Formats: sequence, structure tokens, C-alpha cells
Amino acid sequence: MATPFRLTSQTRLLLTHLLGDVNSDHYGFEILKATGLKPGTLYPTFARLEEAGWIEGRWENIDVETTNRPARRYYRLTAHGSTEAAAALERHAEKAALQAPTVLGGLSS
Amino acid sequence: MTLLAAVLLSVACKLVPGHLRAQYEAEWSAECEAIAMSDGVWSSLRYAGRLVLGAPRTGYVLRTNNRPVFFDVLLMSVTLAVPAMFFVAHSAITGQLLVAFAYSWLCIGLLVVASSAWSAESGLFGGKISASGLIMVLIASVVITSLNLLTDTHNPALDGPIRVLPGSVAAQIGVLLVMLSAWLGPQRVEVARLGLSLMTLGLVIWAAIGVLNTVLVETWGERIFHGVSVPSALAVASGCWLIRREGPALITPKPSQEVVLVS
Repeated sequence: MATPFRLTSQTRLLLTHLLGDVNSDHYGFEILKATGLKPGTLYPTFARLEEAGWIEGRWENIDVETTNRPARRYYRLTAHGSTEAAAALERHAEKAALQAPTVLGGLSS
Repeated sequence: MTLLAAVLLSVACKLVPGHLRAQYEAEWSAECEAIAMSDGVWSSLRYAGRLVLGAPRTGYVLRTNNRPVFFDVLLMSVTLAVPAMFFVAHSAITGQLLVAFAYSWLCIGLLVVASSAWSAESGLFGGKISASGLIMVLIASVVITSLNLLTDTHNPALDGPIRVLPGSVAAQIGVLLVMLSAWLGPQRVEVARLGLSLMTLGLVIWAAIGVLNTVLVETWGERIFHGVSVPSALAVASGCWLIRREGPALITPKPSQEVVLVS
């Protein structure tokens, strides 16, 4: 089944990271550091995944006065998103494995 | 959060669509505050700076309803193809059919790269179509340079008081390395990055020589040719540099390295 958005290498990188720890909340800066993505790529991808229902964003539940800082926005995969992301990555990996090097060598590997 | 970080965030937020501005303003300022507390003010400022740099792309992608993030390549290719079409017309009018043919080939190659970038589902240099486009660009640019050096063809874009040869050769080696990185496979990220660095350097050299030639040439006709080349070369150089910065994320990771599935 096709994904509701383009499964670019950046999207795959983000999904792989989120799938690495599905039970934790993730935030922008942490993902930027972990994946090497740029903000100009990450935030539109968040928006795309959220729109598709693969991830959900929520504001951090903290006492602003105690922590002395505003609440962060957290993201995590939804149950639907986890299943779809794992399946999409698996499909992509299978497709890539099938595209064995031909005359053009490692072009599609 | 420092005043400078607040100013940077305000600039970044102005670049995203209005209906999302409040959300990003809250999200990014909270992130900056948290980073300042945990990693220090400089990290927070760096993050705000990166947000500003990425905000035009964020705004563009969100406004255009999730268009692919490869639009940089499309813009770069079109930026180069426009003056190339101008040169096709000039060569055809002056009866230099081989040069006209080579420029046409260059345009087609650039448009192939652009179309593959627009529809790319894998990494930027991981597709056969994109690599084929790069081969066409490389062949065309080598033919154009060779014709200029070895024959008596007059090519106002390459001729002039100072020859743009060092810039064009560096850019061509850069294209060659990017193309080779596609052949060698996604693990050759450094080859692609080196290629992009050389393309950037070559195009900056080209633009600098182009500016000098614009000043030094005597006729307005020739001035126009150099004037057309300079902004294109600079725009493409900045595009190459931006893509180089993205680095590994734009190159298809090997399937075995990229997928970590949860059971």
C-alpha cells in the first residue's frame, strides 16, 4: 500500500529514529541532533506525518513556574503510525534489495 | 532566551504560513528556552540561527501542500537551464550548430535532473534518472568547453578578457564526482560532498571571473552574456552548498543500514 506522502530518505530517517523508541516522546532538537536533519526539513516532515495521522504532537505537561521554562512540543508515533511506518520501511527495504546492481552498477543499491 | 535568539525566532516565524505561525512560535521559543537551560546560550542561539536558515524551506513546503523537499535541485536546474537556452538561441543564430546542439543537450540533462529530483522517492543521487541527467550535463559541458578551446567557435559565455576555464573545470570535476558517487553507491557520501564542494567553488570562481569580464568587455552584447551567467552561477553555487550541508540525508542509505524495525 502506498504511503499518503512521499517516503523520502529524510522521512525514512525520521521514521527510523521514531521507531527506535516508540514509547518515548521526542522533541525537535533531540531529533535534529540524532538524525542530522535540518530544521527546514524536519518541521515540514513533522507536519506531513501529523496530517497523515502517523505521529501526534502534544505539549509537554510541566509546571511552567517550577521548571521556569515554557512547555516543549513532543511528538510520538501513533499506533497506526507505528504499524504503517514499519511496513513502509520494510517495503522500501525489500524494493531496494530487489533493485540489484545492473549495468549502472550501484546506482540503485 | 537572549534578545538575539528572540529576534531570530521572530524572523523565522514570519516565514512560515500565518495559520501555523502561533504554533511554531510557541514550539520554537520553548525549544530555545529549554536548550539555553540545558546546553547553554550559544547552543540556543545556534538552534535559532538554524531555524532562520531553514525557515524559507519550511515555509515553502508547508505553503505548497507538502511538495517534495528536493525543490532546491529543481530550482538549481531551472536556474542553469534558462541561460543555457539563451546560449542555444545565440549559437543557432550565429550558425554554430554543434555548440547549439551541446547547449540543448545541457538543457535536456538539467531538466532530467530536475524532473528526477521532483519525483525522487529515494535519495537525491540514488536514482538512475538523476544520474543519467548528470551524465548528460557532464558530456554537454565537456563538449562545450572543448569546442571553445580547440576550435574557433565564439562563445561569449566562455570567452572574454579573462577565461572562465578554471571555474568551469572545477565545476565539471564536481559534477563528475557527484555522478561517480551515484555509481559507487550510497556509502560514498564523502565523494558526493567533495563533488558538491568543487561545484560550489567552481561556480563561485566562474561568477567572480564573470563579474570582472562584465566590467572589462567593451560591447553591451558581450556584457549581457556575462551578466546572465553571474547570477545563475551564484544561485547554483549556493544551492550546491545547501545540498552539501544536508549531506547524508540526501543520499539513499543502504537498506541494511537504514531500517530498524520494531517487532
